[in-house]
Formats: sequence, C-alpha cells, structure tokens
Amino acid sequence: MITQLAGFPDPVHDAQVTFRSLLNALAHPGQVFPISPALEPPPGMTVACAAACLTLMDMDTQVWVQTGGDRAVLDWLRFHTGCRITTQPQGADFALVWDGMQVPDLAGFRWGTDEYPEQSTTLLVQVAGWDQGVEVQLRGAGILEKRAIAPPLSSQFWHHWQQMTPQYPLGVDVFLLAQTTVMGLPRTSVAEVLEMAQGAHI
Amino acid sequence: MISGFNFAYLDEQTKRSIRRSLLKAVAIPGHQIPFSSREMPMSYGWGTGGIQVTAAVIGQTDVLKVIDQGADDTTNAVNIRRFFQKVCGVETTEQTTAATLIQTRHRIPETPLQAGQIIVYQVPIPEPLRWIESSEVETRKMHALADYGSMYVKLYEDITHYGHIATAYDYPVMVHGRYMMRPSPIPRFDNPKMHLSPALQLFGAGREKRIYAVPPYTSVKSLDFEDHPFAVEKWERICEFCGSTDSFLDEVVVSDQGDRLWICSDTDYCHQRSLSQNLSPQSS
Repeated sequence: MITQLAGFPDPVHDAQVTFRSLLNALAHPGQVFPISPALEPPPGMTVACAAACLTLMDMDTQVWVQTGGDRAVLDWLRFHTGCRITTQPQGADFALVWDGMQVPDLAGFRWGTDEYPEQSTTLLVQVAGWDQGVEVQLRGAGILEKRAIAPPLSSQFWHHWQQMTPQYPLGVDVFLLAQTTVMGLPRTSVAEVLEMAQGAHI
Repeated sequence: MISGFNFAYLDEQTKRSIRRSLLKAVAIPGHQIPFSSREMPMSYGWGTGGIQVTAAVIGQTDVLKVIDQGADDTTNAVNIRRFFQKVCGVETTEQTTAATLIQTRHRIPETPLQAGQIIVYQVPIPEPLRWIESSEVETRKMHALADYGSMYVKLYEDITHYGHIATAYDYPVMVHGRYMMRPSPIPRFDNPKMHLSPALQLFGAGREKRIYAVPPYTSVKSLDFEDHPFAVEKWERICEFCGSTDSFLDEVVVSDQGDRLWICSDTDYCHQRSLSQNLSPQSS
C-alpha cells in the first residue's frame, strides 16, 4: 500500500471545488461540468475520476473496482482515501468502471431498499469524451424539458438504464468522468434512445 | 478569517459524509437522508442543519447571503453570516441577485432565484407526517409505500372545521411526483416559488439529522383537492415603504393604541424597490 503519487495539492479547496462540480452535475443531468485540479492521477485513471475519488471516498466507504485496471490504482486509493476495497458489487458504495463501453449490468449493483433508497451504489464511469455515443434524450428532475446527450456508452448500458428507471426510487446514480469534465446521471433521468451514432459499436 | 479552524469550521471527514448525503438527496428529490449531524457552536433551533449543509458546500469564491424571516438584519441572519465570514472569509451580500449561496430561515426571497444559485433551508422538523404519526418506523414505511392518505385527511379536516385549508406555513408538497416533503416553515405564499425553480434547493435539519433536496426544474406540488385548489395568502394592504402589492407582508404593531402597518418581510426586495422609486428604505 504505497504510492509515489501525491493527492490533491490543496486538499480542502480542491475537494470543495470538485464536490461542487459533482453536485452541479447531478443536479443538472446531461450537462458537462469541469473538474481540473492540478493532480497527477494513477495510471489508467482520468484527472476528474481521481479527483472524485479523493473527494468522496474515505474509511466509511466500500469501493468496487472493475478488473482490468492497474494495481497501482488500488494502492493509490487505499493510501489517499483509506477506503475499503470490496469484490462484491452488491456491497459497494462506489464502483469504479474503466470504460463507458463496458459498464457491467446495473442490476448487479446495490439499488437501495424501499425504506432506504439512498443505500445504493454510485458508479464512477470513465469515458473518452462527450460524443461518439448513442444519441439519447433525457427527461426528469434537473432538466427543464429534455436534453440530448451522446456520451460513449454502449447501447447495452442504456438498455440496463431503461430497465432500472421504472424502479424509482430504487436504482444507482452514475457519474461519467472524462479527462477533466463530469456529467451526472441520477436515477431520476429517464432516457430515450434516439438513434445509433455513426461508427458507434454496440 | 480566524486561524485554528478548518475552512468552513467542519473537518474534512464530516464534510465528506455530508457531501455524500447531499448527492443522494439530489438523486432522490424530497427523500430524507440521515446524516451524522455534528454539534455546532450554536444551539439546535438556530439553524445548525442549514449551517452544516452550507459548510459542506461553500467555497472561497462563493458570495453568501443569509436571511431570517426574509430579513438580512435579524439576529439569526447576522450571526450566521458573521460565522461564515469568520471561518471562511467569504464575501457576503444582502442582495439576492448577487449571491451564489443563500441560507434561509422561513422565507424564499421575492426576487426570483437564478440558475446556478443554491438555496439552503434551515429545517426544524423534516418529517411531514410527524404530527400525524409519531413513530419514525411507521413514517418511514409510509414513505416507502407512498402512503400519504392520512395527510389528505388532515387537510380535509381543516376544510370541515374552518371551511378552507388553514395550514399557513410548512404546507406539505409532493416532490417529483413521489415523495411528500415539508418545505420548512416558509409561508404557504412561498410554495409556488419552489416549483420548477432554476436554483438548487438543499434542506438541513440538525437536531433531526436529516438532509433532503429539490434539484432545479423539479415539480413541487402543494397538496390540495379538486374542489379546494391550493391558493396563497393575499393582502388588502400594500407595503408601507415600497408600495409593493405582491410581496409577503409582515404586520407590525407600532403604538400602544394598536396602530399597525404592513411592510415587506423580504428586506432586500423592499430596499431595491424603494431605491428604484427614490423612496427612503426600511433598512440599509
């Protein structure tokens, strides 16, 4: 559990600025907000994703990490946040997913209970950018009427999302994290898949 | 800014746990999320819930406004504003339009809130069903089942007793068509301002250890009946200072003979209106 990489250069204010972008992202689903602290992330992780981890995780949180990542990431997470790593997605407060095209079935994560819907997994999903994906129209809380987005997520993901949202208030919440930007997808966002983007693979 | 305390008073661990609760609150509008409320350097009932939410959210570039019953210059508002000046060194304002973050007790500003603004409500009792059902186990179950019939019975009893719904403040609302929520003790007059507001609305109850939220552009519907639709208070009077006919008025007794006058409860709104008409304002 040793890492050569520093955390936030200014832990208090970097965490606050990152949190405000995460809060804004979840309050305005489908809109992109900046997260760009002067931070060197561990290998395979975007700056925004690393900042979100440092902002949200600590010894009170169980984190599930998708396989295929660099081992150094686990050391970095444990060293800087003190979080516990779990192999059970059902027990995870947060789940780290390396690639938006390969998000596991959302039903595998924790959706909360009727009485405690907040006891659910929050997914941190890394994406390559904000276009080139399936075009989707969002409606729901935080959106004035509707908002079209096309982040690089598989149509499989949207299929799982559409199976989840009717179960509201149960469900997971998702942050999509590109290099220095974030988009929020709370469980209130109802998605309608419009069409396949050109060149998008399923 | 005083030294020896973390920025915004709370330690980072506490802020993180409040922030995690806030994110879940935004994801499930109107649903109360338990949080590990801390002891604050003022008593419960003075806005410790709102203060903790503000402390978890506030940053160096924020401009803070604090109001109590609409006024910027009452004890609670002045104390909380000074507290955050001391522990954050942030800029403060009395102008609704200049603020990025507004902490409030019992009012929503008359000036419409803008996209990007955050309003934090101080909440005494977060549970709308509490005076109907005293057991937390039961009310939790009622929320889980969206079993809200008893609240309609209570409002109906108002109609049978008084001929109208007599609930004047903390008037229950349905949020995003799913959860019943207490809007905190704002007057019924302010309820329509919550509906589809462009601002993010956060609620903190310190003693009861609950956080909840209404994201921007979210439906907030005041409970009513088809034959007794929801309506807000109206006055036959106008504000003594600015002449406003459409703001929430406070009745002030001004002499031993019981003379009274009516003035805007929102001091900034009244001030701005007075200035624009070259009248002398109620406060400055």
